[in-house]
Amino acid sequence: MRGVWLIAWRELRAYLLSPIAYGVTAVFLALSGFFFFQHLADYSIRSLQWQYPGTQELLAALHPNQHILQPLFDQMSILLLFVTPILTMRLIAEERRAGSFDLLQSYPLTERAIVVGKYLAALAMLVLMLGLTWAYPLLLVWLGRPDLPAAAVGYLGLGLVGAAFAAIGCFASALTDKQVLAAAVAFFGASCLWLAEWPARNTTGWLKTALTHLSMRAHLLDFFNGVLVTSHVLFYTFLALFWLFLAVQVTEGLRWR
Amino acid sequence: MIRLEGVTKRYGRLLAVDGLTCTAQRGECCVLLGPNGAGKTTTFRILTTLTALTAGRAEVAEYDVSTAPLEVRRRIGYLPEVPPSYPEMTVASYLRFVAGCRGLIGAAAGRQVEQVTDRCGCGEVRRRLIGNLSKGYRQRVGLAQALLGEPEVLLLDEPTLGLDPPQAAEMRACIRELAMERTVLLSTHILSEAAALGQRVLIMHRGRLVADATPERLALAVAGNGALTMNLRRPTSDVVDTLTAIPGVLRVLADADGRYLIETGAEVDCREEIAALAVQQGWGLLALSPLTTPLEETFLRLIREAEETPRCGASG
Repeated sequence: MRGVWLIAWRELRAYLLSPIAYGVTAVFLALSGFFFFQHLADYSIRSLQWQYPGTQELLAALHPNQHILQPLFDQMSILLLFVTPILTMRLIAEERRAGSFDLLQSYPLTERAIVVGKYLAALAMLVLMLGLTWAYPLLLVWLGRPDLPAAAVGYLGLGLVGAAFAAIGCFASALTDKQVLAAAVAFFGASCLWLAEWPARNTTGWLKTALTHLSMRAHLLDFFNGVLVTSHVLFYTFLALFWLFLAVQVTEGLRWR
Repeated sequence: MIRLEGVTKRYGRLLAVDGLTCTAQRGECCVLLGPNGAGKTTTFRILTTLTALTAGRAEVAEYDVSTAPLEVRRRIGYLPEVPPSYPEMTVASYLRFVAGCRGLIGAAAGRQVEQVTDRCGCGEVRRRLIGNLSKGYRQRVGLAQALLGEPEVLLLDEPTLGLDPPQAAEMRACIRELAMERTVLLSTHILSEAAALGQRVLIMHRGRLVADATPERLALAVAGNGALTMNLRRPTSDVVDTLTAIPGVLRVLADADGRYLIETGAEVDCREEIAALAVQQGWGLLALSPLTTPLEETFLRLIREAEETPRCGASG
């Protein structure tokens, strides 16, 4: 276990000294900030419009969680689909290209410890990135009365989907020593699972059921509504563990090349 | 400490290592010598558990590399051909990290980092980023990380590659010192380095071991018959005839200034008889020593012979 933390700590330090990590975080924060202020402006306009007589019911139903945070979380989850592969592409591919991965594998550490350590560092970066966006719901406390526990459940959903994306990215990074290729494979893999509900609309029977269950997006909406469903938590946990398991297998398989 | 028995590694149709059998004991410095593509790095990768072997058996400190890779990793220090590259880390933080990977914690880790830093001459750059170091210092840092955890076996892949002559000499001196207390296996394609460092030289060509002996014995083995060189202060005209009469001496060639070349039968040592005769005749014996073929000549001849030997399958 000590090996896992050592690798994670070293990797996190490398992230914090890497311009790519800062660039990705900056883009994520800028876009999510833009979306937040867009929804906030929309919310403000509606709340002004619904001040008029006859629209009191609408005004009563206007809630910052539903009109600001839910669409924001939805857009942030799509942003994660793009930024996570960029964050994870370097995890193993960079070290394999530089030759330092061989040296790392020659230390008395298991491949599992190496992969999990690197994965945890990527996850910590994602949590850090999402943590910075807590400024938005907290800003709403100043402006209105948001449901913060429901927002926390939304963030849990974002964290879980990010964890699954990161595991796919980790697996893709283990496949190759080319970072761009790793990012492309991770994006493709994550997109397939993200959009699995699209082909489900045109199918019937067991295939429809399977595709609907596989869709990462379908499992996310309850979180954004502030509803914590155990099966969704288990789905993302299983997905992350499955891709991590594959990443470990690929890394161990490097010996047989 | 290192035992290879019929180790074979195949990459598809390419036979990188072909039935390699050899051993290296504690306190021994063995040099894997061979041209590029001889299979030296693949052998190192097998011993460091980075590459699985196709056939045969490889052991390090009595642990099988295939069945007990973690035990093997605990007992080896590895300096790869490409020195470590975490450019964003300082030398000290990198060595602390490696110490942690090797299971060293707290004060013990700090102490060992200090020791290897001083031993490898990295003290003055300990606070510098690895990315800003010269090739020579990176190599030293590479050696320092290999020494952490006091491994029983050191595997050094081309340790002086890219170093300037003074740096290479320093590195060799350091390796010589290290070899006194542990098993060292290093690879090189520099013949003078093999001769200077190796108590044993293992010559590889196209994945096969073509010779395994001390540099001196290798040279004699290739020469076939033994050869001696003798210097006399007061040679007489009958030196050649008198020496040829000694049993085991095949031929005597007179060189300039009282220098003689004496060819003897293979594995025949006539030095005692020759010396006694020289003293008895009053020739003024100044020197008598075995004549060794230079290692370069030995190496080229072995490679030529290996190429002439027919073999199946491709190699690299």
